[in-house]
Amino acid sequence: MILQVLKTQFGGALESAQKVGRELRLRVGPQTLVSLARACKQLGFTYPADITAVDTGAELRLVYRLVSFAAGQQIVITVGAPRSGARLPTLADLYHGAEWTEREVYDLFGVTFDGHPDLRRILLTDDWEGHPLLKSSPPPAARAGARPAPPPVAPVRDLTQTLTPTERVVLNMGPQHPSTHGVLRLELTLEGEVVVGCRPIIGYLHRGVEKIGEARTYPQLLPYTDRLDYLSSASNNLAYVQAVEKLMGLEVPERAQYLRVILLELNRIASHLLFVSTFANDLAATTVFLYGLREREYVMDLFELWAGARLTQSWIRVGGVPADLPDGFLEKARQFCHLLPGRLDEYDRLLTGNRIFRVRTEGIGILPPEEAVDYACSGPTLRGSGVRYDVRRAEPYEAYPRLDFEVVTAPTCDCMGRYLVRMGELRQSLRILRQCLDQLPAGEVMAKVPRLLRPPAGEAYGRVESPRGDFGCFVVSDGGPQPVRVRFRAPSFFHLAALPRMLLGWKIGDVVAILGSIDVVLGEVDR
Amino acid sequence: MIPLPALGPYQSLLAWWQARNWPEWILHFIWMLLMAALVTAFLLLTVLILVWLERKVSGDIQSRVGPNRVGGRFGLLQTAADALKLLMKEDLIPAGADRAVFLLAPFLVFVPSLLIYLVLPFSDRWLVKDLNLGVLFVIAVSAFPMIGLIMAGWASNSKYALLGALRAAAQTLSYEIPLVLAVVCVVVAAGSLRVGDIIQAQRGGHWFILRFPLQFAFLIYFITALAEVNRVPFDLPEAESELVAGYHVEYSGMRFAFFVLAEYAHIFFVAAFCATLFFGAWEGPWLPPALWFLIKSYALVLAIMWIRWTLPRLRIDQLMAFAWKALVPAGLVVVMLTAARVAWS
Amino acid sequence: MSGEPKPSTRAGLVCDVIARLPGGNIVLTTVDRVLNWGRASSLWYLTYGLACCAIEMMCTAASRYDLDRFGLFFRGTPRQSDLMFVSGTVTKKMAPVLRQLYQQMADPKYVIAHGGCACAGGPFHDSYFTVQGVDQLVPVDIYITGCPPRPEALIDGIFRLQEKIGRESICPSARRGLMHVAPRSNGRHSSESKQIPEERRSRKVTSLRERR
Repeated sequence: MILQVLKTQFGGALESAQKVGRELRLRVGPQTLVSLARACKQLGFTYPADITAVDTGAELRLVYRLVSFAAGQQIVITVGAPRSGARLPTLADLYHGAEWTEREVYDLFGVTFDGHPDLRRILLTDDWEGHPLLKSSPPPAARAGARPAPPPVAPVRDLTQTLTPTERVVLNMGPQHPSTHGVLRLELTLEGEVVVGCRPIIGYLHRGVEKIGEARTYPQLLPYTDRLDYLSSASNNLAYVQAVEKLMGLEVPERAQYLRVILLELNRIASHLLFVSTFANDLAATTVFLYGLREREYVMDLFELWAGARLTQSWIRVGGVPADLPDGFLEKARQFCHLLPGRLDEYDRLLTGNRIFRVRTEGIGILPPEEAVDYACSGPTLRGSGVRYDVRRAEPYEAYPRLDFEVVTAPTCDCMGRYLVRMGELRQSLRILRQCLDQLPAGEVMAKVPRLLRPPAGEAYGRVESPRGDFGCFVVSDGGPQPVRVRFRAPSFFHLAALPRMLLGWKIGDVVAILGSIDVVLGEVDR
Repeated sequence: MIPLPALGPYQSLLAWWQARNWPEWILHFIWMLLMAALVTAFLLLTVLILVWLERKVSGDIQSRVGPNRVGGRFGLLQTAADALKLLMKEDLIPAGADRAVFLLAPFLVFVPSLLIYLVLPFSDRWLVKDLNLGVLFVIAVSAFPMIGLIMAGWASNSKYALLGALRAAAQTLSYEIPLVLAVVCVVVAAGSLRVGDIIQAQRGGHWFILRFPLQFAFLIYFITALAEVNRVPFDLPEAESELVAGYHVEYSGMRFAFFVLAEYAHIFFVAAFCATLFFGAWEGPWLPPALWFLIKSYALVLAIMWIRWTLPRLRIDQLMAFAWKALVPAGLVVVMLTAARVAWS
Repeated sequence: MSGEPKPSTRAGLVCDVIARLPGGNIVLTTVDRVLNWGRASSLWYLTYGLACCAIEMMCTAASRYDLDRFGLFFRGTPRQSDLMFVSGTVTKKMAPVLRQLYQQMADPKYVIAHGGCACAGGPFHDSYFTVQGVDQLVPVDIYITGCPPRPEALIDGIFRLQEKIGRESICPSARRGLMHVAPRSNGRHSSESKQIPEERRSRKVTSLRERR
């Protein structure tokens, strides 16, 4: 239906239009882009999931991905552009979530977006020459001997000397700060204690994973995905593996699906426990910080027992799971399921029921639901604003259709709402975990996968509900052993873009609370 | 004019001294230096113990062990190692810092915290100077560290420090009033500003905590004392997760150690003073009075530490709202009730 | 005697004089042991958590592995910390910040490269934006490899650092048989990074500060 509507509306301007699974793939020229996007937005595709580009060697393909919550579908608009000097109209006035993604495409590919409010580099340093993700840029250089020379280190611009104008003070939070959850830099403009301006500066952890991906084979790239959102490695693994499995048309055995869900939910529990810890730490409830980490150790024991690694397990591979559960795992997991609810009640008493905590988080950092969707927020950040959208229910994968759980939302749109959503999700994860442990079917844990992975040419998008939100992986293959393009759509990237909207008008103490409540991980923001 | 402790030894020493026709004021001066040294030694020892205690108590609350390598199974020498290390650190003064103020600030924070020990009754015979205006002296002098904090924050030439300093100013000013109100209740109940009189009024087990409106005075005093020593939930001047160490962000080595010394000295003082005002100071059965003093003080110190490791932190405007809108009216009401009770009896 | 360098600093001369006195060596050794004990037992660390290794560092500091047992304590500001854990990948954008943080730390200071990325670039060794090892920016005392290293590995690294501190001496001369810590080599800008030209230092402490 939607395809018909668009075809009648745009007719010949659509160079190609087809439906592949949940995706409506359209190809247009740059002049039709904005009107097509506007039409899609009016049809309900209000969520600008991703904007990226692929350098196919012949041309630059811009890929715009829009999602409709109601229809449960994605529209993927492809626009061709020349490999150098490309100019395209911006979608930033249509979707807020397009601002930062277009900046990233400018940064890494050199595409200029006309009409963009603030087209600057976002991940690389301001004085960087070139655009690394173009194929004409040098590929990752394998070193065969001595290390390269140390990079030139310019002195940091000293912001502390300009103290005399005290009406508005520019305060730099980060990149080294106990509360920025990683290497994030927030340039805050303060009037007294009130934040009147906020500029998040990212890229301090930009490791070039997407470029590295083009020089690795598909299995070799898998451990890199762990290190993106390093708090829940399995969801990153799964998004990537889903894309590859879609390209190869692989069917994962049922037992493997359940095992994957067990791993995913354990990762979610670990990640949310860390969220509770760091959120409490930001508000100076240091003891809860240590309690959360203490509970997390039990989860990491389970990971270590099964996968051998505590943090970056790399335990979801193409085709399934590398090894079955070891002896004793089921008992330990069940013991953990018995243990955790009591501890969660304790956190409720220490935090949720605490007057000071409530006063620090209730009503703080409001993000209205329409804006949350427009900024492409997802996960607890979106559900804390009352929007009931969870990728596990919207585009179910693995064993989730057979499992019974609730999508937790909170109507308040504030920090407390986002915190409560995560606390609720902890309990729901336990519920899912118990079901999986009980319902675990017998069978293989790994499908028949060729030794040399050469997915057929094409592109696929794997989408997973990570603890942070909608984590996506876009893989473009040309039939060879190495991908042409790997793109990771990180939810925290979009949440950080929405951060200034949530911060303005609040005080410094609220900055840490709000930043903590959206739970960003810079590994996935910067990639 | 003679310090209370060991009146006897002082007299005999004085006799010996005057037998040699030496002027008395020299002996008096030496004696005072000795008393000061004793009090300073006690203070340093207390801070040593308190820092260790904080780490152990926090470890216990947080299901971990705390120091257990340095100096035996209980890490008893941990603070000594910390102090030794801090002595050997490089003395950094940031470029652009207001040098004189920067150097002076730690002392201005530490010295008042030492000075208030003048009127603390360590036992029934050990009190350095029972000033007539003892309580007023305490209140006045214990507001001085705030000035040192602001100096430190200003002189550091760092925005974090400046913010910390401004918060310290706002916080201390807001919490002085309820503090004074709570202490005024005790003064009214005892009828005097002298610490000795306050203790006398509580003799025989009639501690002020047991008298009707003074329980609230105790609560108000305890809360405002937490604010005065910048402890969670009132540790905004040095809010670590927001301001990365706040007013002392640019201090290193021994200068930083002075801030820590001052903080823990003040914490102990506040606990001991609270014990004096409300719990009868050194009074108690069977055990020697000095031991009772220590027990009561440390009990309150443990309560302070317990609160620090349990509660989150308030925001600055919430903190000031709490002071002005809750504590000050409550304080006024309690003062009136105390006055009424005293007038009627 | 002829091959030994003449001490040039004031501390060196003082140590020389004391060493010549009867029992002088024992005095210096004891002083060294006490001071080293103080420094090693009270390492306050600056969490320079960059990436995944930072999470393992947090877990090591948490209740199960508890770094506070060894006297390690977290300080948020570089001025008050002795030890910098570089946990995670250092990128070219982050490099100046890291260098500045190192310079802001007060002497004596130590750096532990925590994790493969900090040691030599780790899995990102061929990326266009990473620094292949933090020792290209600051002098590193201990390298802990792993991706991420287990908490026990981190604690082992700390023990080795404590041993290394135990081998230091306030006397610059090697005459007294202690290990003279070798000058830095290969890509580390030790003298440059020890210079903090824009900051003034108290002269009293300068004389006691040991040169490595």
